[in-house]
Amino acid sequence: MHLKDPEPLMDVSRRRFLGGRAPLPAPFRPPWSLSEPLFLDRCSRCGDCVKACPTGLLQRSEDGHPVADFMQAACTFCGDCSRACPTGAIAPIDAAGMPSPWSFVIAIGEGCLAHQNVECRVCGELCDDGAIRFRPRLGGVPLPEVDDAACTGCGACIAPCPVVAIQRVATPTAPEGP
Amino acid sequence: MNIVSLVLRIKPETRAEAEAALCAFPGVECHGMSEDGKLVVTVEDAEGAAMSDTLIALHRVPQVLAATLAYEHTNVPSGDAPLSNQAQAAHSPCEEAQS
Amino acid sequence: MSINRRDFIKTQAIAAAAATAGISVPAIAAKKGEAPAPAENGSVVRWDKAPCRFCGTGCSVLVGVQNGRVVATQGDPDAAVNRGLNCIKGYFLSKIMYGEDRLTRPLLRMKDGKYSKDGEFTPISWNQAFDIMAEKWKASLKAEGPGSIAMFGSGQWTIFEGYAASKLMKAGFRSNNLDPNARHCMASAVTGFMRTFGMDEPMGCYDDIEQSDAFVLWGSNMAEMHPILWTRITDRRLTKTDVQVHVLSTFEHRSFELADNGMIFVPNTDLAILNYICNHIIQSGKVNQEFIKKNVNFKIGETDIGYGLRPAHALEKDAKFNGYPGADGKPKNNPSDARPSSFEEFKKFVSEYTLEKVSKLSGVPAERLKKLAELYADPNKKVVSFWTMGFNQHTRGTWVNNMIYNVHLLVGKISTPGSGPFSLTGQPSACGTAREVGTFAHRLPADMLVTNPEHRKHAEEIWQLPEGTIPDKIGLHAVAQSRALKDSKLKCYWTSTTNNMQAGPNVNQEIYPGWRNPAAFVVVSDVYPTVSALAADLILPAAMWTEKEGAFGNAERRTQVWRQQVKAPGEAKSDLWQFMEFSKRFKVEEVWPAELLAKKPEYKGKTLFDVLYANKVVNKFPKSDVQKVNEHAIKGYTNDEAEVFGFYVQKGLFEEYAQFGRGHGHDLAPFDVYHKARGLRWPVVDGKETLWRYREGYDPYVKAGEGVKFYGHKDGKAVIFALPYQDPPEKPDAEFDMWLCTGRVLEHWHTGSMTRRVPELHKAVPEAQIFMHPDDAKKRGLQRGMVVKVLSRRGEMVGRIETKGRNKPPVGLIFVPFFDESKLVNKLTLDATCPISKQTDFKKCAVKVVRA
Repeated sequence: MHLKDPEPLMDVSRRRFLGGRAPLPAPFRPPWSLSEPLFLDRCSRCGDCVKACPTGLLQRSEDGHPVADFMQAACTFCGDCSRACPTGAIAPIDAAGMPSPWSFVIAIGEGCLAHQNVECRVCGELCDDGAIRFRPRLGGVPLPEVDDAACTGCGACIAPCPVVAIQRVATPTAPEGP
Repeated sequence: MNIVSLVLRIKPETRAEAEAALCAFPGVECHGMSEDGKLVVTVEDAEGAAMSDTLIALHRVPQVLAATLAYEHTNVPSGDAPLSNQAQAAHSPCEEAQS
Repeated sequence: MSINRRDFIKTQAIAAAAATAGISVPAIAAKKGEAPAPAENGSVVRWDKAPCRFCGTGCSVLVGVQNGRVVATQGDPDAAVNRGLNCIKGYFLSKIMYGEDRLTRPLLRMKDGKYSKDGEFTPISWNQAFDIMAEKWKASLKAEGPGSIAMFGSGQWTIFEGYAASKLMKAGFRSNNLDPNARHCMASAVTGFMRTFGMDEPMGCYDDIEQSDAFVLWGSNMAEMHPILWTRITDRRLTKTDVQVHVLSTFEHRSFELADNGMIFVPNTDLAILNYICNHIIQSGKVNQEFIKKNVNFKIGETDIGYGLRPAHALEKDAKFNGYPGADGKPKNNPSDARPSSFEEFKKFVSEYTLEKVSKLSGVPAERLKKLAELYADPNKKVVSFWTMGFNQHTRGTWVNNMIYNVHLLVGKISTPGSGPFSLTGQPSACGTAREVGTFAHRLPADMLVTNPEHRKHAEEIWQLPEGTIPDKIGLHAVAQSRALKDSKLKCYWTSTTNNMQAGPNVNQEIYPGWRNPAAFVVVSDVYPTVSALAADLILPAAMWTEKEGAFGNAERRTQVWRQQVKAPGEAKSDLWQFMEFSKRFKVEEVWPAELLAKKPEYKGKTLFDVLYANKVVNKFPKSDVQKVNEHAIKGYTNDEAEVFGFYVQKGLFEEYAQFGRGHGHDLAPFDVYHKARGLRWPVVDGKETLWRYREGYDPYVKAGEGVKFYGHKDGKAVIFALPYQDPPEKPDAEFDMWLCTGRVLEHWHTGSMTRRVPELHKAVPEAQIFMHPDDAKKRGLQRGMVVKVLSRRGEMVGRIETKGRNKPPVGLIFVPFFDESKLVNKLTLDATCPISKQTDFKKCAVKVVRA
């Protein structure tokens, strides 16, 4: 969820507001996938990565391409999908100089219960890497603080959030555009 | 779930007709008007009517002189990345990271 | 998509647009509960106050109702308890009523069109349900007398329901076999208060938090179980730099995050730690001599009191003070007995509890224990001690309650703003209904006892009953009821608003065989098909929370009332309706002996309903009052009971009940007042609530010049008890080599019958895990996430190991929450109780963990 900054409220130009529906963003692909155009070019929709995924994170989308569905499970970075991929749409993880599987961190939206003064720390409990911390504070319940450096992008916190307030976003340092 | 709120400028004396016309659209609700004719409206997705299509249609209601977006909440179902207001569709967070 | 979330977003959207347009929109005001908000289909969300349905904190929430359905709840900004805050359970309160499997019709086990113990659940009408119940009850009463029927109630009953049930059982059926599930929850707190002060419930209140210098948690994980009070403690800790938080537990939990001094102790050694603190206070010369001279008596308690196990158990046979029948058939003394003593004797008694010895016994490093003792001893530090089930669910639960009072009394840190011992509660009306109304087997309203002839007489006068109506023997308590069912001594059993098949101890060996005993007829009133309901013979569908008008009393003596907001689904009815309607099935002569009825011949031919509820007091207030009293909040208001019975049932019951306490230190305000206030803390005298009892200037019952007066005891003094450390009845050994501790998690409440039906909460914590130290897992060849079997001498369960997460047990102990009905951890627990309070120890028994 994204809450728009209320100021300035009258600025129509900042958005093609009556301009019709925006296309959907590209879906999340398996870890170590090539950039979207390359991925689509190489992926043969064989489904081997989906079968290999031990947690159920990878699912077949309607068009047959694999997607990472974080409402189903989290990623353990086991690499089985990469090893299973016959076409290289998912880069081979054993190759030298492999980048990290995803350049993602999580963002906790304003829908977050704690931001509504409701005591909830489910995401913090599930973060094995200590990337979500709740520090006691004055005048309200503890709020989550995300440590981008510690977040592995595994997505374990996403599905259990009672109000679906957690989203994966690109790391702040990720390059702009393809 | 997609919800936006708008401030529509109308002539105060046309409020009844304007509200009637607006509320005829599925997913549209009127919430109040200032004395000088600023009408607060919310638009949501409804059965068979996407919020974005309704937005365009509202603009064509005869009583509506001008429309301003005040707030927008959009998210894409299935737990994918949020469609941010600011982000252009061309560089979704997903592509940014994987490129 | 959650309606709450959508509404929240929409409210934001409207607010943003309204701010732009420069207008105020009612929706924004509605967030504060002042005006209705426009919403879908032109209908409006109506907001009204109600206390939360869950724990004993007593938060007030605003309940949003639209189209006859509760659609939203939010923290009530005008409530003194929670100040607009909410915990995750309270936030999703609106969803607990709308689980898909809500019970909407009575269901009877039937075969070939007739009741059969091994029949299938078949829908029947209320008429048929009461027919079979009345038949069973009458047969039982006739054949075996009032001792063969029993009721198990709840600290979740409204005050009206508890009071109506108490009258029905104790006056109507003349059986004291009425006990609340609060027996599992705070019976030890009650007996602790009664023994030390002669009067139940805390002297202080939540306002202590903002005035204290230090907090000590004894067997309480407030961060998860009382999160709203915990935020108040956190605020205090963060705003005043020298404020200290000490946390004691048998495993590390979330409350340790804030702890300046965290202490993990070996189970049961809290007894020794408390004696060490007293010893330290005495040895360091910090006793408040003036205070104890004026306000305290000393006593030495009996110690050979057993463990509340079955009388034939090896540990009970030789116990000389367990109260069970001895060889001569007479009770073996009273476990609560104590003889007078002196300060000198007490000093000598605790002197053996040295720092070195207690540190070794408890496993807590000496410097930490010392820091804790010095805190209590320091005359310049105000200290509040909080506790819940760690103290109460303890085979020495009454003792350990007495012993924390010993500490506070020795230094005089009690009944004064910012200092005092504070027993928290786990149910919304454990205090209001179970304790104050007196739905225990030994109690009558306002702390009175069934064994006291004067108390019975007083109750009989108020209830307009002939002398001798109320039986003089203590009835069966919770665990005794289970045993009596198994032993075929109880024939008719009605449980309501509770889930004992999951929450009670030793389910396998005691509770289940009892309920399925062919001699027993078991009725369960509930809102969902719990494991208890499914083990019953007849299920009655109940109304819940704001589907009825109600009143709860929280842990700080605050009585809060709410209006009925919506209708119950289908044929579900409030417990109040069920008790009153059932009472119509009995003529007085069918249940009372002729000689009793002869004392009140005008009752002949009348029903129990006429005698108990249509007695010109309970039915005094006409139906029109319902609207009059509540018109300020809901136009044209009425409630279901008023519609059925034709009078303002709740007001009549409340005003009759209030007669017990007014003028006796339990004063309640007039009924109507509560429908406007955010609750009031009793005693309410001359319209003023009481924040600190027993102290001049705060408590209207303490006269000028008296200073402090513990007026629960006739001489105005409290008691310091000399009591020793003792081992628990079961400890880990070579075969069962680990401690098992059960408890709760933030997201689920008790047996999860409500919270597990809220998708968001279920999603957050879907199953109960077995929290274990990583070394223990490694030693057994187990890994995090692995499915394992936990076994005790009584049963086994299967679950997943968690070696990380919010609870971190020490080596040798596992913690398992009890909310998960697919796990039923209470198959493993031991039905040992505190022999005085009869409360089960759910915190300690011996288990082993193996690969599944």
